[in-house]
Amino acid sequence: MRMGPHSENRSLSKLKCNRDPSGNNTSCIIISMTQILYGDRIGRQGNIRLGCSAVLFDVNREKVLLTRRADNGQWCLPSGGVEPGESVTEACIRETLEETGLKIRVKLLTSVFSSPDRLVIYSAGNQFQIITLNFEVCKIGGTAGLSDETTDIGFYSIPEIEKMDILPHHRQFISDTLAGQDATFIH
Amino acid sequence: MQPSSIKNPTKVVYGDRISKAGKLRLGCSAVLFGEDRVTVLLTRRTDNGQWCLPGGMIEPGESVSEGCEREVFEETGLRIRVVRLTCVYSNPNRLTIYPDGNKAHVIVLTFEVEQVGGELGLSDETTDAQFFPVAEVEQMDLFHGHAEHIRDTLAGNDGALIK
Repeated sequence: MRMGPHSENRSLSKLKCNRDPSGNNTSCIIISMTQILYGDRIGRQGNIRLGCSAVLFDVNREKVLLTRRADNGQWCLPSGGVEPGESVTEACIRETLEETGLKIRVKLLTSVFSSPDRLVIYSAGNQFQIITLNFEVCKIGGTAGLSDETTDIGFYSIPEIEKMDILPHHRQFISDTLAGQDATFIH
Repeated sequence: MQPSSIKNPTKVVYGDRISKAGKLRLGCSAVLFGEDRVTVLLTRRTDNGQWCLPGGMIEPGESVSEGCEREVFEETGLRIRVVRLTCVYSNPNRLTIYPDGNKAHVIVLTFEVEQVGGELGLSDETTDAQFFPVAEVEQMDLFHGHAEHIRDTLAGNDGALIK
């Protein structure tokens, strides 16, 4: 049986709270909020948006580069949206550089994720079914560091990642990439 | 009488980073070979009379495979299944301009597909659909880039090309 539209609703929000001197009233301003909803064909309620993500292994192909998001503490692969005026490869290189400081080269398109049962809501009226191309990449320069959007970065082993709070389709991308096949997985 | 859109068909223009002027859109095209990969299925566009691969835009609420299956069925009457992703085309130096003036940076996923049912027929968007010898296709006036999609799919690498 498929899940209803609100059965797994994840709120990724960043709140700024101000307390008045009496301590009785607290007002919170939502600075940024991204909601991910899962449900049967829920993607219909949004527009299509194309994204990319990068799997970068360490030299022994045992650990994967992950960053931790500042807004909700969740771990993820370097990733972001493809913009008009750039190729998908360029988007992947740009996003990885912006989020990690590393210069990379794209090796292989490992997966296309296009589940229609997932909807990402950035704000009212700004909601998307995101279709993501995942690439295996290799490092060609730069030093790993933090950005405004990340609080942690590092290479993690598969057993470590299993215990981490990571976006479900990013977990799938890591497993697809580990499979080491040339043909692209189509999800 | 010719349809009015034939005077104002979808145009593709090229120039350095010209796609910045458009919205990003995701499309798909389907390469369906006949037996022994000697022939390939093409449809003829209503808007400009050019031959092209079946395909179109991915709609919200469907996966990329479902989008490809739907477009092929709508345009040809054939039921297909996606076999593999052969190429991603994302050239930023190419801009698509639609008859209504909307501009798009179209990123295309090309799939090799196989027939699982249906019968070859026509639709509102197509005036003809038939299998052509692959060897002839290079000489035909195909829609922008589609000869390349066929060539890249015929090359038959396991991994998808990224362009």
